[in-house]
Amino acid sequence: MGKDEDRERRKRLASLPFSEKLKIVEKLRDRSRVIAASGLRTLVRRQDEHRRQDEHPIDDVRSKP
Amino acid sequence: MKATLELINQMQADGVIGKYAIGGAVGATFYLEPSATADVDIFVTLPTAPRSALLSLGPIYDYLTARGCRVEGERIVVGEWPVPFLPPRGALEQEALDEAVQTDVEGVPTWVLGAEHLVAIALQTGRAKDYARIVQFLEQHAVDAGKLNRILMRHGLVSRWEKFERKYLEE
Repeated sequence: MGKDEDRERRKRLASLPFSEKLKIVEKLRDRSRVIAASGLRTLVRRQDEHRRQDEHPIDDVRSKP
Repeated sequence: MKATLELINQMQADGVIGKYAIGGAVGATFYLEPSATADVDIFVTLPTAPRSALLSLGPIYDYLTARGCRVEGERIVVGEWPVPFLPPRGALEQEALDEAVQTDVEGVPTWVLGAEHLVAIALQTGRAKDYARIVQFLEQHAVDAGKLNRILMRHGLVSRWEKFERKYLEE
């Protein structure tokens, strides 16, 4: 999506009535809750940590007590 | 959200709270495109107990838990929404609450903080997500620059705004 298209989409969403916008906010909240409950975020965080350890093994050893 | 606001309005009608208004990300959604958030910030005036200058959230918690709401850390879940009730922490937030805008959600009357006050409070709070929200307000021309400027001057936030401008708007 180009910058102009994105700007137009955001403008259109911003012009919706408040009640309509809150329904979208609720959908976004529910989706976040599902993702949180699935453990996906924890998995991604762990993968990030493993990647960092692979990339900076010395930092990791030094950081251990 | 409708159920949440109906219960808060009832609590207001029953005299547990005074004036209230929605702030934070949900308040910003009144002016901007919808964005994800986990809770609804409610700025609220609390009646003080007789012979006491101390404000307490106790009556709110007592009222809501008696109606089936559960406490979740520093928030209480009203309807489907966790709600932190936030008494004004200073002159800026008090002014924001006094000048909140009346609207409705699916026919339920409610109040939302004004766009310029939301921006000034975000500037004062100063987390990365607050600065990102300010940028959104500016990009979407959702604030009256003159009004915002007067608020910033009244509450001593001009130098902080200049720093914000240098860091986020001039790069």
